[in-house]
Amino acid sequence: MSEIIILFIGAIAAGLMGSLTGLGGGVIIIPLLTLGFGVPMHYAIGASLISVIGTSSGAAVAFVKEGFTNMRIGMFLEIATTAGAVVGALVSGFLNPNTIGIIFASILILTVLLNLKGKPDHQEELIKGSLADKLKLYGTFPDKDGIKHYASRNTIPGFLMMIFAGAMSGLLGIGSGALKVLAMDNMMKLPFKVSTTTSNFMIGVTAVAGAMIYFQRGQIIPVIAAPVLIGVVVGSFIGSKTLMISKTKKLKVFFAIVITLLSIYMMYNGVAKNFN
Amino acid sequence: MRTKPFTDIDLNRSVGNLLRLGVLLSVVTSLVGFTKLFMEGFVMPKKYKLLDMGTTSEKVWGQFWNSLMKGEGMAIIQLGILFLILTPLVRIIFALIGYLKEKDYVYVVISLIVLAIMTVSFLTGYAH
Repeated sequence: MSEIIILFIGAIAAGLMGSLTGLGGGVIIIPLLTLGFGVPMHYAIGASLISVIGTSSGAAVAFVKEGFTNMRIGMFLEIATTAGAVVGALVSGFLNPNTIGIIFASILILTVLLNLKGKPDHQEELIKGSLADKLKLYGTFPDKDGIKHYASRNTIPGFLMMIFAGAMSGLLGIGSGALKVLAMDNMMKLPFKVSTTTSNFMIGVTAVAGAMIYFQRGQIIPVIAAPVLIGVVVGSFIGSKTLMISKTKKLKVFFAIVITLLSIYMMYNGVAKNFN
Repeated sequence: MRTKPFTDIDLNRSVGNLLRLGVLLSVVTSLVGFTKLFMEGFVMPKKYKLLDMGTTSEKVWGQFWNSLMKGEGMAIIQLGILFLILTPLVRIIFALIGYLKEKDYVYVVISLIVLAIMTVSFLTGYAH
């Protein structure tokens, strides 16, 4: 039973760290489980996917009620992320743990770079007759100066990027939040608040599409997945409460260095074939 | 009787409540499962590989139902995990019903496509 307590405490730390860095719990839990505790890679991915569903659903409650989440944009892009996730989860079944470790490390570095770059905040007018108009990819959100209107651009490139984000989620067991925000901020030019909350909203469904495949492959181990789930949810909750204090530039750089070292360590272990 | 037309705000509220309920149900069920597992005297094996839940989907489901019928802790935790997996799926069905009430047929179709992909995910997992 003590192993389960250790898993649980580790998961709280991962959830806290994931929430403070804005990367999500999955990014920290996979290295912790595989390299820290020696859990086989596919079991770690299965457990991580479950924790991703938990944090996404938990956090989405608040955002949906505040009115920032655009459920139509979310639902439309979920076609892309779930399809990608199915492919990613199937491919993962054929890959050996070291290859997955190397891909994980590469995506992690990319995520850090994306996170460090300042996020643009767009607010675009609707183009009548565009694909975004036909699919109702627009909306409003409450702001201190009243109600703000926005609309989506570049629907097709955004959709394609979402397929990639979904595939990485199914392959690596992460939420791919950074990739989803990239598609919605940089490509579709949505306001920052809308893209972050809508991305969080979609992460749960995307993870489910992958999790159903891992579950039926026997790779979601109850005594690993459940303590990880509860721990990460608790950790993210604590993290979301302390988020205000820690949003300084210095901390952001510090976390970026920590995550970069972590991805180099993952890369090294992948090349040295240390994953099981 | 509800006389007001169904709007996005109603949909947001019901989706929010559903998500909260799903996570809560899942966590409580898992905790009950852990308590049961602890009373059964569970010991974590030295090698995690020994925890394998079955190599094919038939074995996974067979083992799950068997163990659940006996009321074993392991299956109760698994049930908690399945509740969590179901939550976002029910969320899509909620949205689908909402869009039907709003007569937004483009989004009825989009929700159905997402549900179809989820079915494919379930079935490809099953075929393994």
